Amino acid sequence: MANRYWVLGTGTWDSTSTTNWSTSSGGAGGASVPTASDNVFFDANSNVLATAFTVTMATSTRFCNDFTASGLDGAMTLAGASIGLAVSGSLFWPATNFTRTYTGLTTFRATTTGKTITTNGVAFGAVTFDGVGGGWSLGSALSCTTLTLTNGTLDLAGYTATLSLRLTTLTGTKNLTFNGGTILCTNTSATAFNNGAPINFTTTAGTGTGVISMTSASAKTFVGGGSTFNCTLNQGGAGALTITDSNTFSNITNTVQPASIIFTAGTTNTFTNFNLAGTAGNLITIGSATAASHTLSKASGTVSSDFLSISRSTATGGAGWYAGANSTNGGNNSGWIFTAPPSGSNSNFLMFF
Amino acid sequence: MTMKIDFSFSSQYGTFSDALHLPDDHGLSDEQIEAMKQQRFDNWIFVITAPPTEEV
Repeated sequence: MANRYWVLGTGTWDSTSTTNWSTSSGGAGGASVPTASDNVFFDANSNVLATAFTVTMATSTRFCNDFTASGLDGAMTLAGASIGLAVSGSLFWPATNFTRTYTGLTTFRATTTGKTITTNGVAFGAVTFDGVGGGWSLGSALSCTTLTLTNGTLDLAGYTATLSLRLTTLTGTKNLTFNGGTILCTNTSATAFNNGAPINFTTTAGTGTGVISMTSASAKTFVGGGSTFNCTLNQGGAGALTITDSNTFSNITNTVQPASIIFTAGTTNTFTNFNLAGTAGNLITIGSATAASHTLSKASGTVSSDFLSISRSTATGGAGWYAGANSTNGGNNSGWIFTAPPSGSNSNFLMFF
Repeated sequence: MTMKIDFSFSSQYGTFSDALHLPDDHGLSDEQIEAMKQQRFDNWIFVITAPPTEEV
């Protein structure tokens, strides 16, 4: 493993040119092009005086171990047309003087844990986590178009990851750890959250409450894949939220109303807590995607909702499912009680007499 | 050396949690740091309210 420092300002980071690479900060150029095991640095000595400079990635995917841009005294642009960046270690982008314009895929491919990703408000395009045994923690919020989990553990570490297109899982052993962080899927799509490869996909709550929020104002789909989500799934946009497959959730909530939550008929979704509720004149609609019933299951306690419109829904599992006195029975329901819960009962608490 | 400043904003879209990593000798005033936090939040709102565009 070696260190490579960018020098002499604007230049091309391709597979052959050594002009802009040095073995020391501000040193002479001519060092070899960094490999996947080399750390690359962009700092106050990377440019000429304090001028702006552009590093254009070219040829093919550029590789490095750690990528560190820090202490820049001129505006740096990391550019490249459909050229990816593959990082084997950690990544740090500074809060100022840094712009990303490259349009290729950013791949994090560490195979050990303890890596950090700090983007300081700079958005990625498409991002993939694909390192067997790798572990990455966010050092700040993350924004990207697509986020693909293939191998390794991504720890949100309490921060917000915002995906403007989708989250996808691919075949591999992958984990999403929340530690109070949030995945925000903003797109209108049948694959806004697409757990397409649920085998060996796990989630970990960690400390605090993790959230996956689907915020599009138009229809969107949560492809659960039958996994266990140790987090809250939130209906966060006015567009109908379709939930496919038989999944397990820590909680389900809504932060907008009116809105719909549509389950695939024939599925059973299991909840530790169930906190969907509308308001007067703004109902939360619970239904099935087709003309058959779905099942909602909660093992114990009391569901205490109100202002719901429910149809084709079987509520079961052992909990008391109280839809509330202001909810509407749309028909073909089972297990729902269309009254408020008995006085003294409280969601998620056991009662002792 | 850098310092980390965690911050969060609540909105109708949920809580936005982020961090500013700044050099220890950043020289920024409290007002400038608050403005940077607000800019991050404004950028986030822009992203989640803008129509998505496919990027290769």
